[in-house]
Amino acid sequence: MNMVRFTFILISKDLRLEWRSKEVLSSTVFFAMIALTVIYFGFQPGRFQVADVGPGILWTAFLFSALLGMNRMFQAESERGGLEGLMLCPIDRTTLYLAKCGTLFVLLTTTIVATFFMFIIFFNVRLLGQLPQLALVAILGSLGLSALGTSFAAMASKTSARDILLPLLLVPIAIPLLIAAVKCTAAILSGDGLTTAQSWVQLLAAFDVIFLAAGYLTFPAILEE
Amino acid sequence: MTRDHSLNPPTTPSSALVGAALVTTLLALYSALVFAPTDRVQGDVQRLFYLHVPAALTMYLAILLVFIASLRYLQTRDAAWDELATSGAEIGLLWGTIVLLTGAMWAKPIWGAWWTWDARLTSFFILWLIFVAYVMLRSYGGEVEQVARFCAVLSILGFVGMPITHYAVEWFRTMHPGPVIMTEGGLGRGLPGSMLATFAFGLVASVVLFANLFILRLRLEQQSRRTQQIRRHLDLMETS
Repeated sequence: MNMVRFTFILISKDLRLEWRSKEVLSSTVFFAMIALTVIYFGFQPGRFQVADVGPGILWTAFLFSALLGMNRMFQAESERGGLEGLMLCPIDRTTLYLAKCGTLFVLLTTTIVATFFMFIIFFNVRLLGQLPQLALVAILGSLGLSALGTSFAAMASKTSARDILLPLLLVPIAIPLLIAAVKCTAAILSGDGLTTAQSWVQLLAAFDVIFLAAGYLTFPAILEE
Repeated sequence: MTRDHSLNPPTTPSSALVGAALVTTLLALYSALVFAPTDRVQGDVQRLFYLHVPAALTMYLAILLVFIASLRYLQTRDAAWDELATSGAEIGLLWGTIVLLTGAMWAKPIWGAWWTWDARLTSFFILWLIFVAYVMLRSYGGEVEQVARFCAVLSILGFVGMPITHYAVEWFRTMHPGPVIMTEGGLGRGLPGSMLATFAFGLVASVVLFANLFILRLRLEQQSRRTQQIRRHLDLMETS
């Protein structure tokens, strides 16, 4: 019971910090916007079908902006001794994992919702009717990325090569998540809906469960002093 | 809990193991290049198979080694397990690179492309990337004890992700040749006897050579850590 309470206290603390500084979201959302723009110009105008390349564009833009956000989230902690402060709290390290993962999940979900809307506007896609299905994919995708990203961002923040290490560590292991998310989004974009991509949804859910459990169990080993 | 290195002399491969590596490697080379018959369809390029597949299987052995050593390290915090893990990962990366290179050399004449995003290629490539990340983390991760913990966590997260990567890329699509050793018709039914024998020589040579390099690498790791320890000792004596 206490664990749940502490987790929510820590998440609300982190979100309040974010609300005041807008440090993470300002960078992720604008980076996603830049990425969408750049990727658009990688294609010949009018010569590509959004239904074919759209899902890849969307998730690539989101993945890179998520990496940026993860780095920034732990940067603040390590710069101002915040992590040491948290570690002095009389709570389990695993609770810290849940809290950080929860905060990251909220931030990434916000980022992906923003990315979806920019995508709809920039690429002139009709998606609003399929919002519930899209929301499911967005939630499963950002949950898996948060589960994995919390561990690796915590690690990277304590090393000298933070900016390069995080993508190196995270992306290879996150590739199945990316494939599944793209496949699900493609099924939604093509109008078939998620019923044709059920095994991909299951794969996303399995990814989330596996890495939430593995991240939860191994997090104390990352934070030791 | 750090191990007192002065009590354990550094490991070296025994002369028997070195000799075994020499003999098996020569034998494997001879049978792959001379003894084994030329493949009727693929020609001589098929001979890469005797290096490619044994190296891949040895790589899987290295993955298992690194995973178990990492798990044991987190349980016991005995630096010896971490030395095993880092040596296994580095030599494993070398073997993985051999697999990718020989695969590309074979694929160009047979498939007409150096690389395709086939399921088995993709999942192996992802494993290789995780090993690259592991070695990078080693060199950037900070002080020894912290790096040891981080690397152990990385190898555990990488290992538990393997099945899910497998399914994801398998469903994506596949064109890699099916297994010829462990086929549904029974063990070794997919190959003629001389090819199977050559493959077996290749596998033994690959594993024995891996063991040799692994032990040498382990020795290097132990010596470098001992040097660091001595240096720290000297620094302490100077400052006090």
